[in-house]
Amino acid sequence: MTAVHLGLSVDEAILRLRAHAFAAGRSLRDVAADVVARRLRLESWNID
Amino acid sequence: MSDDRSISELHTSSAREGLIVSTFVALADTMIDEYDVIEFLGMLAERCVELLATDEAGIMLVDPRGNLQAVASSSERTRLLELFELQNQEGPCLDAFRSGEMVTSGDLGRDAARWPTFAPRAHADGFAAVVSLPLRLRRDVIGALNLLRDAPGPLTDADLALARALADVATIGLLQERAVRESRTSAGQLQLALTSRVLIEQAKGVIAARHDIDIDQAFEMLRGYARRHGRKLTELARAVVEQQFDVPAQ
Repeated sequence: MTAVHLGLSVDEAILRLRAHAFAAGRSLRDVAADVVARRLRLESWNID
Repeated sequence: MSDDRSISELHTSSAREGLIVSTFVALADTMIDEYDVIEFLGMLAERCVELLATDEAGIMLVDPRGNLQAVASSSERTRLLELFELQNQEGPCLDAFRSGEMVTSGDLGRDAARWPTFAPRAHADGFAAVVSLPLRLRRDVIGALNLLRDAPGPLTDADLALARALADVATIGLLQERAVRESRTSAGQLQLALTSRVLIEQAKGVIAARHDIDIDQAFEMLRGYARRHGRKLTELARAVVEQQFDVPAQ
Protein backbone atom coordinates (compact mmCIF):
# COMPACT_ATOMS: atom_id res chain seq x y z
CA MET A 1 0.00 0.00 0.00
CA THR A 2 2.84 2.32 0.91
CA ALA A 3 4.45 1.58 -2.47
CA VAL A 4 1.37 2.91 -4.26
CA HIS A 5 0.88 5.87 -1.93
CA LEU A 6 4.46 7.03 -2.43
CA GLY A 7 5.00 5.87 -6.00
CA LEU A 8 7.82 3.52 -4.97
CA SER A 9 8.69 -0.11 -5.58
CA VAL A 10 7.74 -2.54 -2.81
CA ASP A 11 11.43 -2.89 -1.91
CA GLU A 12 11.71 0.87 -1.41
CA ALA A 13 8.41 0.95 0.44
CA ILE A 14 9.63 -1.50 3.09
CA LEU A 15 12.58 0.84 3.77
CA ARG A 16 10.17 3.72 4.34
CA LEU A 17 8.10 1.57 6.68
CA ARG A 18 11.22 0.54 8.59
CA ALA A 19 12.32 4.17 8.81
CA HIS A 20 8.94 5.22 10.11
CA ALA A 21 8.87 2.41 12.67
CA PHE A 22 12.39 3.24 13.85
CA ALA A 23 11.67 6.98 14.14
CA ALA A 24 8.40 6.33 15.97
CA GLY A 25 9.95 3.69 18.24
CA ARG A 26 7.39 1.14 17.12
CA SER A 27 7.67 -2.35 15.68
CA LEU A 28 7.55 -2.77 11.92
CA ARG A 29 4.67 -5.16 12.38
CA ASP A 30 2.57 -2.59 14.26
CA VAL A 31 3.24 0.09 11.68
CA ALA A 32 2.40 -2.32 8.86
CA ALA A 33 -0.84 -3.31 10.61
CA ASP A 34 -1.85 0.37 10.81
CA VAL A 35 -1.11 0.90 7.13
CA VAL A 36 -3.03 -2.19 6.08
CA ALA A 37 -6.01 -1.21 8.25
CA ARG A 38 -5.81 2.30 6.68
CA ARG A 39 -5.22 3.97 10.03
CA LEU A 40 -1.84 5.28 8.87
CA ARG A 41 -0.71 6.55 5.52
CA LEU A 42 2.94 7.46 4.97
CA GLU A 43 3.28 10.65 2.95
CA SER A 44 6.21 11.61 0.79
CA TRP A 45 9.24 12.63 2.78
CA ASN A 46 7.81 14.09 5.87
CA ILE A 47 10.29 12.57 8.29
CA ASP A 48 7.77 11.11 10.65
CA MET B 1 -25.80 -50.05 -0.64
CA SER B 2 -28.45 -50.97 1.89
CA ASP B 3 -32.07 -50.31 0.98
CA ASP B 4 -32.93 -48.44 4.16
CA ARG B 5 -30.66 -45.55 3.36
CA SER B 6 -32.61 -42.41 2.59
CA ILE B 7 -32.32 -40.63 -0.73
CA SER B 8 -30.83 -37.54 0.92
CA GLU B 9 -28.12 -39.62 2.60
CA LEU B 10 -27.24 -41.10 -0.76
CA HIS B 11 -27.05 -37.67 -2.31
CA THR B 12 -24.91 -36.40 0.48
CA SER B 13 -22.52 -39.32 0.30
CA SER B 14 -22.24 -39.20 -3.49
CA ALA B 15 -21.61 -35.45 -3.35
CA ARG B 16 -18.88 -36.12 -0.82
CA GLU B 17 -17.40 -38.85 -2.97
CA GLY B 18 -17.49 -36.56 -6.00
CA LEU B 19 -15.61 -33.89 -4.10
CA ILE B 20 -13.01 -36.36 -2.89
CA VAL B 21 -12.50 -37.66 -6.43
CA SER B 22 -12.20 -34.17 -7.89
CA THR B 23 -9.66 -33.25 -5.20
CA PHE B 24 -7.44 -36.14 -6.23
CA VAL B 25 -7.98 -35.32 -9.91
CA ALA B 26 -6.80 -31.77 -9.17
CA LEU B 27 -3.73 -33.32 -7.56
CA ALA B 28 -3.11 -35.41 -10.66
CA ASP B 29 -3.38 -32.23 -12.77
CA THR B 30 -0.50 -30.73 -10.82
CA MET B 31 1.70 -33.45 -12.28
CA ILE B 32 0.70 -32.63 -15.86
CA ASP B 33 -0.04 -28.94 -16.21
CA GLU B 34 1.57 -25.85 -14.94
CA TYR B 35 -0.42 -24.74 -11.99
CA ASP B 36 -0.33 -22.18 -9.26
CA VAL B 37 0.78 -23.63 -5.95
CA ILE B 38 -1.14 -21.12 -3.83
CA GLU B 39 -4.34 -21.71 -5.83
CA PHE B 40 -3.86 -25.45 -5.34
CA LEU B 41 -3.29 -25.19 -1.59
CA GLY B 42 -6.19 -22.73 -1.28
CA MET B 43 -8.44 -25.20 -3.10
CA LEU B 44 -7.33 -27.95 -0.71
CA ALA B 45 -8.14 -25.75 2.29
CA GLU B 46 -11.60 -25.08 0.84
CA ARG B 47 -12.12 -28.81 0.27
CA CYS B 48 -11.23 -29.52 3.90
CA VAL B 49 -14.14 -27.28 4.91
CA GLU B 50 -16.50 -28.92 2.43
CA LEU B 51 -15.51 -32.50 3.25
CA LEU B 52 -14.77 -32.49 6.97
CA ALA B 53 -16.72 -31.30 9.97
CA THR B 54 -14.61 -28.17 10.08
CA ASP B 55 -15.41 -24.49 9.50
CA GLU B 56 -12.08 -23.05 8.42
CA ALA B 57 -8.80 -24.59 7.30
CA GLY B 58 -5.32 -23.20 6.82
CA ILE B 59 -2.00 -24.48 5.52
CA MET B 60 1.28 -23.31 7.06
CA LEU B 61 4.78 -23.98 5.73
CA VAL B 62 8.15 -23.55 7.36
CA ASP B 63 10.40 -20.81 5.97
CA PRO B 64 14.22 -21.03 5.76
CA ARG B 65 14.53 -19.45 9.21
CA GLY B 66 12.37 -22.18 10.71
CA ASN B 67 9.29 -20.00 11.18
CA LEU B 68 5.84 -21.15 10.10
CA GLN B 69 4.13 -18.96 7.50
CA ALA B 70 0.47 -19.13 6.51
CA VAL B 71 0.38 -19.80 2.76
CA ALA B 72 -3.23 -20.75 2.07
CA SER B 73 -6.57 -20.63 3.79
CA SER B 74 -10.19 -21.59 3.20
CA SER B 75 -11.05 -17.91 3.46
CA GLU B 76 -8.81 -14.89 2.93
CA ARG B 77 -10.39 -12.92 5.73
CA THR B 78 -7.52 -10.96 7.25
CA ARG B 79 -8.62 -11.80 10.77
CA LEU B 80 -8.44 -15.52 9.99
CA LEU B 81 -5.04 -15.19 8.30
CA GLU B 82 -3.80 -13.45 11.44
CA LEU B 83 -4.99 -16.36 13.55
CA PHE B 84 -2.91 -18.74 11.45
CA GLU B 85 0.02 -16.34 11.35
CA LEU B 86 0.01 -16.03 15.14
CA GLN B 87 0.91 -19.70 15.31
CA ASN B 88 4.48 -19.04 14.25
CA GLN B 89 4.85 -18.13 17.94
CA GLU B 90 2.48 -20.50 19.69
CA GLY B 91 -0.44 -22.81 18.97
CA PRO B 92 -1.47 -26.21 17.70
CA CYS B 93 0.26 -25.77 14.31
CA LEU B 94 3.58 -25.02 15.94
CA ASP B 95 3.14 -28.00 18.28
CA ALA B 96 2.21 -30.31 15.38
CA PHE B 97 5.15 -29.00 13.37
CA ARG B 98 7.64 -29.50 16.21
CA SER B 99 6.38 -32.88 17.38
CA GLY B 100 5.46 -34.34 13.98
CA GLU B 101 2.25 -35.56 15.64
CA MET B 102 -1.38 -34.54 15.39
CA VAL B 103 -2.37 -31.91 17.97
CA THR B 104 -5.98 -31.33 18.99
CA SER B 105 -8.13 -29.34 21.36
CA GLY B 106 -11.81 -30.16 21.69
CA ASP B 107 -12.50 -27.09 23.81
CA LEU B 108 -10.39 -23.98 23.15
CA GLY B 109 -12.26 -22.12 25.90
CA ARG B 110 -10.44 -24.33 28.42
CA ASP B 111 -7.02 -24.39 26.80
CA ALA B 112 -5.75 -20.92 27.69
CA ALA B 113 -3.02 -22.46 29.85
CA ARG B 114 -1.77 -24.49 26.91
CA TRP B 115 -1.80 -21.63 24.37
CA PRO B 116 -2.11 -18.34 26.29
CA THR B 117 -2.33 -16.16 23.17
CA PHE B 118 -3.78 -18.46 20.54
CA ALA B 119 -6.57 -20.15 22.53
CA PRO B 120 -8.34 -17.00 23.79
CA ARG B 121 -7.97 -15.31 20.40
CA ALA B 122 -9.36 -18.30 18.50
CA HIS B 123 -12.16 -18.64 21.04
CA ALA B 124 -13.00 -14.93 20.72
CA ASP B 125 -13.16 -15.40 16.94
CA GLY B 126 -15.84 -18.05 17.45
CA PHE B 127 -13.79 -21.25 17.22
CA ALA B 128 -14.36 -23.96 19.82
CA ALA B 129 -12.09 -26.77 18.64
CA VAL B 130 -8.94 -27.24 16.60
CA VAL B 131 -6.98 -30.02 14.88
CA SER B 132 -3.46 -29.59 13.51
CA LEU B 133 -1.81 -32.23 11.37
CA PRO B 134 1.88 -32.15 10.45
CA LEU B 135 2.76 -32.01 6.74
CA ARG B 136 5.47 -34.62 6.29
CA LEU B 137 8.02 -34.76 3.54
CA ARG B 138 10.08 -37.92 3.88
CA ARG B 139 11.61 -37.62 7.34
CA ASP B 140 11.08 -33.89 7.63
CA VAL B 141 8.05 -31.96 8.75
CA ILE B 142 7.53 -28.99 6.41
CA GLY B 143 4.43 -27.42 7.89
CA ALA B 144 0.97 -28.12 9.23
CA LEU B 145 -2.66 -28.29 8.21
CA ASN B 146 -4.92 -26.47 10.64
CA LEU B 147 -8.64 -27.22 11.00
CA LEU B 148 -10.80 -24.88 13.06
CA ARG B 149 -14.30 -25.79 14.22
CA ASP B 150 -17.15 -23.65 15.52
CA ALA B 151 -18.52 -26.55 17.59
CA PRO B 152 -16.56 -28.20 20.42
CA GLY B 153 -15.52 -31.84 20.40
CA PRO B 154 -13.29 -34.11 18.32
CA LEU B 155 -13.41 -35.04 14.63
CA THR B 156 -14.67 -38.52 13.76
CA ASP B 157 -12.08 -41.16 12.89
CA ALA B 158 -13.32 -41.13 9.28
CA ASP B 159 -12.82 -37.35 9.09
CA LEU B 160 -9.37 -37.64 10.65
CA ALA B 161 -8.33 -40.28 8.13
CA LEU B 162 -9.49 -38.09 5.25
CA ALA B 163 -7.82 -35.04 6.81
CA ARG B 164 -4.57 -37.03 6.96
CA ALA B 165 -4.95 -37.91 3.26
CA LEU B 166 -5.61 -34.25 2.37
CA ALA B 167 -2.52 -33.21 4.32
CA ASP B 168 -0.48 -35.70 2.30
CA VAL B 169 -2.05 -34.41 -0.91
CA ALA B 170 -0.94 -30.89 0.05
CA THR B 171 2.64 -32.11 0.48
CA ILE B 172 2.66 -34.05 -2.79
CA GLY B 173 1.12 -31.09 -4.63
CA LEU B 174 3.87 -28.84 -3.32
CA LEU B 175 6.50 -31.20 -4.64
CA GLN B 176 4.94 -31.33 -8.06
CA GLU B 177 5.24 -27.64 -8.80
CA ARG B 178 6.80 -27.74 -12.23
CA ALA B 179 8.89 -24.60 -12.06
CA VAL B 180 10.50 -26.02 -8.98
CA ARG B 181 10.74 -29.58 -10.09
CA GLU B 182 13.66 -28.38 -12.13
CA SER B 183 15.43 -27.08 -9.06
CA ARG B 184 15.05 -30.55 -7.54
CA THR B 185 15.56 -29.53 -3.95
CA SER B 186 12.73 -29.64 -1.49
CA ALA B 187 14.03 -26.41 0.07
CA GLY B 188 13.61 -24.67 -3.29
CA GLN B 189 10.14 -26.11 -3.65
CA LEU B 190 9.10 -24.83 -0.28
CA GLN B 191 10.66 -21.45 -0.95
CA LEU B 192 8.63 -21.01 -4.12
CA ALA B 193 5.36 -21.47 -2.26
CA LEU B 194 6.46 -19.03 0.43
CA THR B 195 7.59 -16.46 -2.14
CA SER B 196 4.29 -16.82 -4.00
CA ARG B 197 2.43 -16.08 -0.81
CA VAL B 198 4.48 -12.93 -0.18
CA LEU B 199 3.78 -11.71 -3.73
CA ILE B 200 0.06 -12.24 -3.24
CA GLU B 201 0.11 -10.31 0.04
CA GLN B 202 2.02 -7.46 -1.62
CA ALA B 203 -0.42 -7.47 -4.56
CA LYS B 204 -3.35 -7.25 -2.15
CA GLY B 205 -1.75 -4.12 -0.67
CA VAL B 206 -1.14 -2.53 -4.07
CA ILE B 207 -4.72 -3.18 -5.19
CA ALA B 208 -6.17 -1.98 -1.87
CA ALA B 209 -4.22 1.28 -2.13
CA ARG B 210 -4.96 1.82 -5.84
CA HIS B 211 -8.68 1.29 -5.49
CA ASP B 212 -9.05 2.54 -1.92
CA ILE B 213 -10.65 -0.70 -0.76
CA ASP B 214 -9.84 -3.03 2.12
CA ILE B 215 -7.44 -5.96 1.93
CA ASP B 216 -10.12 -8.64 1.84
CA GLN B 217 -11.85 -6.99 -1.12
CA ALA B 218 -8.48 -6.59 -2.82
CA PHE B 219 -7.89 -10.33 -2.71
CA GLU B 220 -11.32 -11.01 -4.20
CA MET B 221 -10.50 -8.63 -7.07
CA LEU B 222 -7.16 -10.32 -7.68
CA ARG B 223 -8.48 -13.86 -7.58
CA GLY B 224 -11.65 -12.98 -9.50
CA TYR B 225 -9.61 -11.46 -12.32
CA ALA B 226 -7.17 -14.41 -12.37
CA ARG B 227 -10.03 -16.90 -12.62
CA ARG B 228 -12.00 -15.01 -15.25
CA HIS B 229 -8.96 -14.56 -17.46
CA GLY B 230 -7.29 -17.92 -16.85
CA ARG B 231 -4.24 -16.27 -15.31
CA LYS B 232 -2.08 -17.89 -12.65
CA LEU B 233 -2.57 -16.13 -9.35
CA THR B 234 1.12 -15.75 -8.57
CA GLU B 235 2.05 -14.41 -12.02
CA LEU B 236 -0.77 -11.91 -11.91
CA ALA B 237 0.29 -10.88 -8.40
CA ARG B 238 3.84 -10.33 -9.63
CA ALA B 239 2.67 -8.09 -12.49
CA VAL B 240 0.57 -6.08 -10.03
CA VAL B 241 3.44 -5.73 -7.52
CA GLU B 242 5.88 -4.66 -10.25
CA GLN B 243 3.18 -2.15 -11.22
CA GLN B 244 3.06 -3.36 -14.78
CA PHE B 245 -0.59 -4.23 -14.48
CA ASP B 246 -3.59 -2.91 -12.63
CA VAL B 247 -6.58 -5.15 -11.97
CA PRO B 248 -9.53 -3.19 -13.41
CA ALA B 249 -12.46 -2.41 -11.12
CA GLN B 250 -15.50 -4.41 -12.19
